[in-house]
Amino acid sequence: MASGTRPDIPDLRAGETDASAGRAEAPRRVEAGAAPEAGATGASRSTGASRSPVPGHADRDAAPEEPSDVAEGAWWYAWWGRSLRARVITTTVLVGVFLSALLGTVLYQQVAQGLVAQAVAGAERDASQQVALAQEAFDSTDRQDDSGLTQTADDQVRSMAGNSPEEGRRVLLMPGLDNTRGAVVPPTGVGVNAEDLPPALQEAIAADPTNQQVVVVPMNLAGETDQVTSVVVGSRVSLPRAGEYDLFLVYPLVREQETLDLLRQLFYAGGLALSLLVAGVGWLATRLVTGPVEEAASVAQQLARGRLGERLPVRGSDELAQLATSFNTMADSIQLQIRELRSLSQLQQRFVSDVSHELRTPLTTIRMAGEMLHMSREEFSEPVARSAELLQQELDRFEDLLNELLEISRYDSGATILERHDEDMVALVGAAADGVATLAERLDVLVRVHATTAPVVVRMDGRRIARVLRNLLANAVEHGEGRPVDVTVAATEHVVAVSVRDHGIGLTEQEAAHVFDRFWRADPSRDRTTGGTGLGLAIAQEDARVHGGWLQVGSEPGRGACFRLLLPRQDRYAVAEAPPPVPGPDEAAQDTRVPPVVLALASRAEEDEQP
Amino acid sequence: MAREYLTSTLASEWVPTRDVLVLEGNQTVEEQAPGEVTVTTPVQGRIDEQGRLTEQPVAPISRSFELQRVDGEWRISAFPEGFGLWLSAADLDRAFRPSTVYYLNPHLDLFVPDVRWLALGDGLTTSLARTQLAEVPSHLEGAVRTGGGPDLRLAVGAVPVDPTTQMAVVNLQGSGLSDDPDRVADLRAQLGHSLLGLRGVSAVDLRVAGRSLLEDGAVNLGTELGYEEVVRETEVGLLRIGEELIPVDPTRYDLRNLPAAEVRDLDLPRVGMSWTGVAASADLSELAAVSADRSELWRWRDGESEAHAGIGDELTDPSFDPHGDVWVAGTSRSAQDPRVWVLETGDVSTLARPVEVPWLADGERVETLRVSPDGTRALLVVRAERGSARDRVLVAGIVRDSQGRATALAEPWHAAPTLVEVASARWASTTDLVVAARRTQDQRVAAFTVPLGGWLDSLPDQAGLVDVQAVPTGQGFVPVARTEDGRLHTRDGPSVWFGARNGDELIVPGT
Repeated sequence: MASGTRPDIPDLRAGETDASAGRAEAPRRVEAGAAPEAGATGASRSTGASRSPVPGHADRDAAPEEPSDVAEGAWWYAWWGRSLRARVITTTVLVGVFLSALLGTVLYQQVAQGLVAQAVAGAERDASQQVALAQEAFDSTDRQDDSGLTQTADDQVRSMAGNSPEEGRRVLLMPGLDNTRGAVVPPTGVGVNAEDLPPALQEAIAADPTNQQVVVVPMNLAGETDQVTSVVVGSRVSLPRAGEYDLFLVYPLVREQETLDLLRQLFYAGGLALSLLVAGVGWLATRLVTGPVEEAASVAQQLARGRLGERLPVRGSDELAQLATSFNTMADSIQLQIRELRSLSQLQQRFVSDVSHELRTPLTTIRMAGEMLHMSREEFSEPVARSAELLQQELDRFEDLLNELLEISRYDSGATILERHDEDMVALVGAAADGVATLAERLDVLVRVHATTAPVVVRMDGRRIARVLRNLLANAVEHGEGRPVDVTVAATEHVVAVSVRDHGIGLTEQEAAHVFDRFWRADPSRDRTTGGTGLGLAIAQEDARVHGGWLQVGSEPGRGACFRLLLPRQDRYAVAEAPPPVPGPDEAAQDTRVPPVVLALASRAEEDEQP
Repeated sequence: MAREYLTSTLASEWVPTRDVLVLEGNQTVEEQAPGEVTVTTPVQGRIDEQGRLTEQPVAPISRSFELQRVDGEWRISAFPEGFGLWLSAADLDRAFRPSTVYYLNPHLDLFVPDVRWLALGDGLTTSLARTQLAEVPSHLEGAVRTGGGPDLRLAVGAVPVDPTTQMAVVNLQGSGLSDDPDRVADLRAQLGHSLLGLRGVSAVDLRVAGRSLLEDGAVNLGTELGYEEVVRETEVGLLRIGEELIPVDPTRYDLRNLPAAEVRDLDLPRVGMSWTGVAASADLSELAAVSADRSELWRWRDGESEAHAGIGDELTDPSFDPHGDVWVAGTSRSAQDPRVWVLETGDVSTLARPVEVPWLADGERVETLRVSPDGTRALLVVRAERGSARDRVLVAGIVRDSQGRATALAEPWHAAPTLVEVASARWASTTDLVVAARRTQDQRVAAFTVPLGGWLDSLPDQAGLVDVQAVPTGQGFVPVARTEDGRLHTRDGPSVWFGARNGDELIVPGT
């Protein structure tokens, strides 16, 4: 992600990489011999770029590691996305929690409504009975003077309220709105005040005195600090001589609230238990499924890392057993094909190497004979003399071809030995430019070197890098169509970039994709001034790779091509990932800057060589 | 309705049952000043706050009333302190009803009735319960037991009766009531028995804080209450002719002798002519009499007899109580003050034990002493001073100790103040007396039935009346009058006596 924009802090990157067990381990795995397979994968995926010069990249391709600067807050997302078990458990828990909450809410609502309905019905029944009893009592009282009536009303109200008003009903008796006889009996109540009653209730009683009036409202009750939702039942009673009175019976829903609180706690506990149960079941189920899948993934990774003998155990005859069987069959097939390919490749490389070596001896003899003929051409007739020259010329080419074939075969067999020394890249570029000066002069191409005067020291095998540079410059001059060739050296503390840009016919995208293939030529019919073998760029790319660098090409047809060599300046580093594409002709100014690259530690073998 | 004739202020304070006067004849109204009138009216009776009716000698009283015009109509704005209700005897019968509260005789498990006049109407149940829960009247203090008392009241001043089930629910309020099963049992018996006597009440429940106190459920007419009303029936009466006691059927109009077959087992002594005022125990196993000079008491039991000469002088006729004890009053020989003695049943030689009667004053003389059929009250006719014809008919509770032995007589209640000269007085039932007496306005002694707490009820007139007795019949009683010529008269119709036969005394056992 952002790594490409931070080329200037490779130490941090390296440090982070080093701190990561996965990255430190990656190169070691490749050294075990996965390079051929990984190399094939890398070539097939890259466009206009060489395959990865670092063996560890193959491992990265097989099992990409998370970006080093992934935001901390998103770690769970990566974890969630990487683990089927996590997804299943998370999903089932979420669904379980949602369903539990939904079910709990619905049940709670139903229970709450049921409780309230039950309480209201109970309150209505009780109030009906109480009011009837109260009316009977008022009717049967033997004292109708004020104090007697008041005493009776007080006693009746207290009697209806019971011993514990906090738990039972609360009672209020007050003159009806339509009572015109004055308050013969003053309002009296237990546990509730007249001003706390809903005013509409008394109006409703006045409007319909024959029926109970019921409301469920939060009430301020004596002895309670907070409002308590209560069922208030208002009824009309008639007091002897005092007239119509309203009797209010208040039933606090305290017990119902306690029941609901208990129920809520039970729902919470039940929901939690259910969620845990669901999580447990999900864990168990996914364990049954993902266990074998993880095992298959592990074995697949082992296979990918080259341990081709790894196989899945086959247990039982279920779908997972079928998967294991199929997987093992596939692994057998792959192992067989890889072995065949490997032996074929080794056979081919050995053949090339052997042929080259075998050809060297007769070639030497032929060359000596050719030399003799060439030196004696003056003595021959013109046609024979010309043939002797051609023979000599083709012998040179043949020898070059043979040398390059031997070089390639050394790369293929892994027998390449680097002789690294601290050398000045600027001087090396200058020498290379001088080397092609004759050809450039002949083709009338101006070679321009853009570099600092200060030396750019790079720990490298100067012979091989000089060969690369010579090859690139020769190609540029040859295909430069007489236009100048720009060679630019750019360097940072850890990386040096050398761009060789011509302004000739350029390469198409398809051509650029094959430019590093062996024996590939951009235009076979084209006159070959330099007489190249078609192995130069392939060897150059191998040279860059063994240095832990990259050789890339960028081109536009008709506007020239640009080859860029990127090398780490210290041998303990390697350019880990493919650098950005080579700038086009319009962005030639960028050649003076080293593109952002990701550095990684070189393989352990190379590290061990460090002092 | 009457409250509407009061100003609203007065109406709110007026308690009509506080003091009820029963008027007789016409009232005279005299305007003393503008807005103030004095009403003078003869009064024949009074019902006190406890509902006890006392017939009074007719006498006029005067009371002043202030009037005020309210909305163009005159209203009473002030009346004397404690003024209750004035009404005629006819109105009294319409507005009030004699109801009975019951106290308990724990020694014999009997109800002791007490009649009260309570206002008719929806509040009758309440007022009867309220009255029942009040304290025992002073004349019964120590003589009876009650579950009520000052620490117990109606939780609500109302005893509603369910119109469907006819159940009266008495909500009580009293500390510790739930933990006192004996008291609950007493209340159950008293309230149950009294309220079930009201029309429209067929069950009674007692509750505290809404919970029933009665584990066996509400009381109804079939419930065993643990106490009974006294029901007496006399099958055998003794007619004394000379020295002989002849078994007769006292309920028969002709007082005929009982067939010999029915009285074969009776062993009755001859009673010497020197003895008079013979009394017999309920089972006729014991007899008692006083000497003609009223200085000795004679007792007979199972063939044994004993004359007690040392009790006192001026002894009354002896009286048997339901325990079998013999009661007699007289004058102590030493102090010459009135005394009451009791001789316990069993041995005829048992000494007389004086009973404390602190309210009997020196100089007063007890003319008659009779014990009520329930054994809790004594009927005394007390003459204020010797030779005076001013008699008082008093009823006083018999205070007994825990063993049931009589120890004292409670403060008396003056039963029939209109009677001034009493020839004889006897218990007819637990609530009624029969009296041969003269009222102020009468020329001679007449026979009366005296309901305790009720109006005198005249029996047919009979010249020469000296004694009247009541013979219990189970349903009530029949009176038997004796005239000075030795003739016994039974009642023949509502207003005529029938001269049944001659005899010296008719002895009703158990009285």
